[in-house]
Parts: sequence; structure tokens; C-alpha cells
Amino acid sequence: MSARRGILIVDDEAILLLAIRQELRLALGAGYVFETAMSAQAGLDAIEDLSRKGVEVALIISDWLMPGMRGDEFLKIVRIGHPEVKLVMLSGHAEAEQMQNLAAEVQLFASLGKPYRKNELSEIAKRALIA
Amino acid sequence: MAVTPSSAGPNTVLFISSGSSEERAYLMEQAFETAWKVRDPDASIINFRFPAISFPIGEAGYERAAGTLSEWLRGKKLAIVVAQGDPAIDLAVRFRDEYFARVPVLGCEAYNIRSLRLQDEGGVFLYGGQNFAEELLKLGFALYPKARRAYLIVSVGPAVDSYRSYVEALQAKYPGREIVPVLNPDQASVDAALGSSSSKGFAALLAPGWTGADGKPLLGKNLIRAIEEGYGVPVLSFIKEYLGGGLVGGVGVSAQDLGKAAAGTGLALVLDGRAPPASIPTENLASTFVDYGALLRFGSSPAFVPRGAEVTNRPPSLWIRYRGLIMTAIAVLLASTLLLLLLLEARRRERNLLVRTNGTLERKVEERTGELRSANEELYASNENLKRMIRRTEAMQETVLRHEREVTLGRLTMSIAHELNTPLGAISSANEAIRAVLALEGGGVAEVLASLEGDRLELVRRYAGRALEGALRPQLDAVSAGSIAALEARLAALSCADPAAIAADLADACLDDLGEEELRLFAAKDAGAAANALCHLALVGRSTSITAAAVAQAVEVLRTVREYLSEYKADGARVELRHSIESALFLFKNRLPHGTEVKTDFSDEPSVMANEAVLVRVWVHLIQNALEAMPDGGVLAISVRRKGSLAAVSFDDEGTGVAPSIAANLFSPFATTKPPAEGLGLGLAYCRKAIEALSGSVAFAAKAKGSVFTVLVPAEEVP
Repeated sequence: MSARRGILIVDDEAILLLAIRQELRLALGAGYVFETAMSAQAGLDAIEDLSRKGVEVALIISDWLMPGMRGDEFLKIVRIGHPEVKLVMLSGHAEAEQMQNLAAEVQLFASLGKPYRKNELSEIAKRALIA
Repeated sequence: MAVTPSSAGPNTVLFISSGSSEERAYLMEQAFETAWKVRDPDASIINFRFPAISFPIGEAGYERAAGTLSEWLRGKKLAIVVAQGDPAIDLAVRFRDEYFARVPVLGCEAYNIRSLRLQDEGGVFLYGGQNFAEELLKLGFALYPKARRAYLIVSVGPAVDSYRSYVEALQAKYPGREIVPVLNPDQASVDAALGSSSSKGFAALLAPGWTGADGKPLLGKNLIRAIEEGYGVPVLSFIKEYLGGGLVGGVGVSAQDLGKAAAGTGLALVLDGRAPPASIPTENLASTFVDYGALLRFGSSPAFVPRGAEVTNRPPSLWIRYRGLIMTAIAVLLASTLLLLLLLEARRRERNLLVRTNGTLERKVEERTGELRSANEELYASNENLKRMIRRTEAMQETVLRHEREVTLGRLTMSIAHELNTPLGAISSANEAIRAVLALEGGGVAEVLASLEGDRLELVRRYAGRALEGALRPQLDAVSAGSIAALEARLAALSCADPAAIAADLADACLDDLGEEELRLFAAKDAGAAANALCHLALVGRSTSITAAAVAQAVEVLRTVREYLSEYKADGARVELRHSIESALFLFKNRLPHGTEVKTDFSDEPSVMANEAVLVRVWVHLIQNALEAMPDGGVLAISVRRKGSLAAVSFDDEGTGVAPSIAANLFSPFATTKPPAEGLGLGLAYCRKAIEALSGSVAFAAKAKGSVFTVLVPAEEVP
């Protein structure tokens, strides 16, 4: 199998996880390997798993506020091992200031406040994967 | 001891003891003096008894003691202050800078607040009587190098086990010698000690239960004498012979009488028949100043205070307390008598002067009336002023309350907005997915389906039901990349042209569990369009599932808020607590996390007047909280008890507890131990409002592991 590109979505809310996965699946087509994780720790495991299977993780979309490890800590860890991957953060409006600091630290591709407008997320994902 | 005396000139050492027993104080003074003089033979030791423990002396006593000591120490070169007992340590530390030339203070007392303070002050500190016993032991062996065995006379209270290990530790320090403790003696252990040690000798013992012929307890010397006579064991002569005439002392802790007895015994051994020297410079302040409050605390009264002593801090007597009143009464009486006399005299004169002074009088009345009027006006003005101020204060209070309500409302709104983010986001995404399916390339899903024909149409017709059924399943499992990879491998093995795309479509169409023959149908040429159509059908189906779940979640958020904001009336009917709790537990029946157990104890089965639905809601909140506090499992014990006119329901969990920062405001809205993403923090606030509406209360207590929430509600009379 040739190196395929993967998209990882991390959110502790199952319905959101599933909804985002579907939306992106339809917007981006079947050419990507989609993986979902309900916690940051599970997200780290998933990245390792995908890499082992020869999938290049191209985009990670993570929620900010999760039980256990938070989204910002998660992305900082990811960035250390994966300088190329595009990172997108979902957040409530309360974290605006921290978000700016994080954006500079891990070179966020984009951040998106919740609730986002209808096709905002898929547009961002498309741009991230082309860039 | 880490204290070394100054190298030049004779030193003066001040030993302050505040123990309860004169005998013990003397024993300690002797021991200390001997020890000190081994190293500093020219030193002069000043002993000062400060028996504030047995008879607390007031503040004046401390001042007086310090003043006396500064007199004694005038012109002397003070090297160290040794303080035994809390009050002594207190005295030494408090007046060190002022009177004691800032020399080191050595303290010896049980470990407590004042001793800690001594450490803070840079002093040296011996831990309790144990260290003192150790010092004595060291001293004993130094003085009597031939001694092979030492007897520790130990009186202990409940700490007997720690004493045993302490004695073992001491034994380890003296390998060539034997250290024999006599612990906590009662009649039986005295007999045992005598029986087993008669061939080796005998340790001094104390037994508070022993009484002499006169009915008084036998202590100290008297006890030894009683043992010598009663058992025929020559205690003193044995010790003299065996230890070379010396002593290893006894120190008491815990029980005052026991300690006194031990010290008394030790003293008798030290003296060995000699009388204690008479010329010890001591001053018994207890008989000089007696604190009135302390007297009452010790169940005593001023009547028992020794002659010559002064009772300090005595509250004023009846006469002093009511002196003002009595004096006023007398003054009023005198004044009114005087007034009467004056009036009689004035009346006599008035008659004479009436005519003459009539005009003057009228003028004066007018003047006075004018003064009174203006005074009245002033009073009225200031009264109005006061009313205005009260009105302004009331208005401010109203503003503050309104502000508080606004803040609460604002926080509530923020929380709701935050909680609604997730369902709204999910609905938005699901809706996007449906729109994308409807607007698929080539004219939307309708066109795609219409373009299918032959085998491919048949495939869609055959599997559409399964795909939709799978997508509409209430379980919202995401499709994992792993199952797609497995499917892809199986398709590739069937020589499929585009295994990756078909595998992804089939997985999304909930058809990842197809058998080999069925899979072969999709691996065939041009079957990709059918898989794709099925996938899109499933996506639409799943989107409706997501929307439904999101709507349910949003409704739950609003229900919680409405519940919190609703009015609570103490209406309702007779509710059996047991029934309401079992109803609440039923809701958790299949939702208990692994390793979690709920135990119920319905020893009492009281009823309360309440709205059962509200009550069940309260139990659900408390059970939910307890379960969430035990993510790794544990036992939740629920019990119902009748306590007088109240019913007590307690929820006792083994969870992670409540952070101290939250505990203080636990029942306020928005107090939550959960991450901000989970829950509004209204649960306990709801419980409190609901229970208080029943004239009940909810209380929280932290345990070593876990928390206990107790609900108290008025119980119905037992019919």
C-alpha cells in the first residue's frame, strides 16, 4: 500500500466526533483514512497506530476542553514528533487568549470557535490538506 | 545535648522546672546539675520552680517570675536556660530577649505547641519524658560504670506500645548491658515482675491501685517500703549493691499520678535515705498568684486558695458590678429629697415674689418655649436626614441584590451557551453531511441512485435496509480506521479494482461484516457506485441519529436549568423514603460502572411529606455525583435512619472527594469538580433548594477516602 494520508479527529463528545467525521468524509471524499479518538491519550495512540500502518497523518482536529489531557497539551506533544502535520483546534470562546499563545507555539493551521458555521470546518480542512 | 558552656569564667545555669510534682522537679534538678558539672564543674546552677501546670498562675505570675529571675541573675554570666515543662518553656522563650541575655534555651517536654515554638526560636528541644529518661540512663552508666543492668521505671498511659519500642531502641544503644523496663504496672504485673526478677533483683515499681493501711495510695518511698515489707525484697539495698549504690531514674508520662509516683520512686533511690538539701533557691509562685479562671476550670474555688495567695483576674463582685447602679439610686434619693426641700422653700418665697416676678416669668416662659421650638425643629430635620439615609441604603441594597442576580443569570447563560455548543455543533455538522449528500456531484443523491442499473441497482436494493438499520442504531460508534484496513485487505484479495474506496464506503454503510460471498459482489467490476450509494444512504441515516442524540442532549441541558429555576413547594404526599431511593437506584440499574457497588441499609423506614418526583431527582443527583467521584470503582453505601423527629439519608462513597477550594461553596450553583466541559454544576444547588423547601438540610463531610452527603428531612409520625 502506498503512503496514504490520514485525518485524526479528537473530541470527548461522541456525537460531535461522528458528525465531524461524516462531514469531512463527504467534503473530502474517500481518499483519506479517517480516525477518531475520544481523548487526547487515545489520540496519541491512534497517531502511533496510523504511522505503523504506513498512513501519514496530515491533519489533526482537536477539541480544546477534554477530561484528562487538554487539547493544547495534546497538540504540543504531537508537534514535537510531527513537524509537518496540520493542526486545527476547536474551542469555546472562553479560551481565546490561551488560543493565541498556542497558535504561535505549535503553528496552528487554524482555530475554530464553537459552534462553527455550517461549512467552516470542511473549508478549513480542504485548505489545510492542499497547503 | 548540643549546648557547650562558654570557655571563659564560671558560668551560671538557670534551670526552670514547671512540673506538677515537687519530687520530680527535684530529681530533674539533681540529674541536670550532675550532668552539667561533669563538663563544667565551676558552674553555679540556679533552680527555679515554676509550678504553673498544677496550679495555673495568671499573667501576673509570669511577669513576676521573670522579674524575680532577673534579680537573681544580676551580675552573673548566664550560659544557658534549661526549661522543663510547658510553662517553663513559655517563660524562658517569652522573656529570653528581655531578661535572659538571649542565651540558648533547652526545653524538655511532650511535643506540643509551645515546644514547637521553642524550635522556631532556635532552641534545643528534648522530646518528652523519653529523652529525659535517656539522658538519665546515660548519666547513670557514666556515674556507675560497673552497672550491668538498668531499671527504667516507666509509667505510661495508652502509649504503652510506643514505649516498648522506645525501650528496645535504648537497649540497642547499650549492647553490653541490660535495660529492664517495668511498664504500666497493675497488681498482676507487679506480682509477675516480682516473681520473675526475684533472683536478679528488683526494679522500683509504682502501682496507683495499691493503698496503705490508712487507705491512701502508696506512692514513691512508701510504695518501696510496702514492697520491701510485703514481699520481703530488699529493694533499696539490692539496687545499692547491684548498681553500685546508684540510680537509673524513672520518668512518668500521660497520667499525672503515675508520673509523680515514678519520680517519687526515683527520688527515693537518689537520696537513698538522705534528706533532700534544704537550701534550694525556689519560689512557689502558685501560692502567690492564682488565676481565677483556672480555679474554676479545675473545679476549685477561691475558698481553697492558700493563705497569702492573691487571686488574679477575679470578676468584679456584686457590689462592684452594681456599684454604679446603687450609687445612682442613692444619688437620686438624695437629690429628690433636696429637691423637695428646695421646692417647699421656693413655694414659700414664690408666694412672696409671685406678684413681683409675674412679668419676668412670662418673658422667661416665652424664651424657653422658643428654645424648645427650635430644638424640636432641629430634631425633626435630623430625623428626616436619617430617613433619607435609610432609603438610600435600601436602594443600594436593592442594587447590590439586583447585581448579584444579574451575575448569577450571566453565569447561568454562559454555562448554557457552553453546554449547547456540542449539540449545536453536531447538528450543524450532521446537517452539512445531509446537504452534501443531496448535492452530490452529478445532480445529487437522487441522480446517483437513478443512474444505477442492473446488478448495481440490485445490490443497493438488497443492502439498503441493512445500511440504514446500522446507521440508525442508537449506538453512535465511529467507524475505526482499523476495520476499514481489514476490509480493504479482504477486497484486495478478491482482485477488487479500487479496494480502498470501496472498503471505506462499505464501512460507512455499516457493511464491514459482510461474508466472503457477499464481499465478492462488491469487489466485482463497477460495483463501486453501488457501495458509494449505500454509503451515502447510511450517512443520511447516521446524520439523523446524530441530530436526535444532539437534540436529546440539548433538551437535557435545558431541563436541568428549568429544574433548578423552578419553584419548590413543600406540597406533596406521604412518601416512603425507601421507595423513593429504590426508584432512583432503578434508573442506575444497568449503568453502574464496572467495579462499582451500591449497598443499601434501610434499618429504619420513615416517611416524609414531599413531592416524590422531586425527591427521586435529589437522590439521582447525589447517586450520580458519588458514582462520578469513583471512576475506578468502589462502594456507595446508602442508609436511612430515623433521628428523633428527622429522617437522615446518607450517601457514603469511596471516591476522590471534593477539593477544598470547592467544598466551601459546594451547594452554590456552578460548583463542580468536573472539567468545565461536563455539567452545569447545578446538581447540588438543586438538591439544597429542593430539600430546604421541605424544611430539611443537606450536609457534606469529607472522609479520608471519599465523601458523605447527609440529607435530613422532617419525618412523618409513625402511624
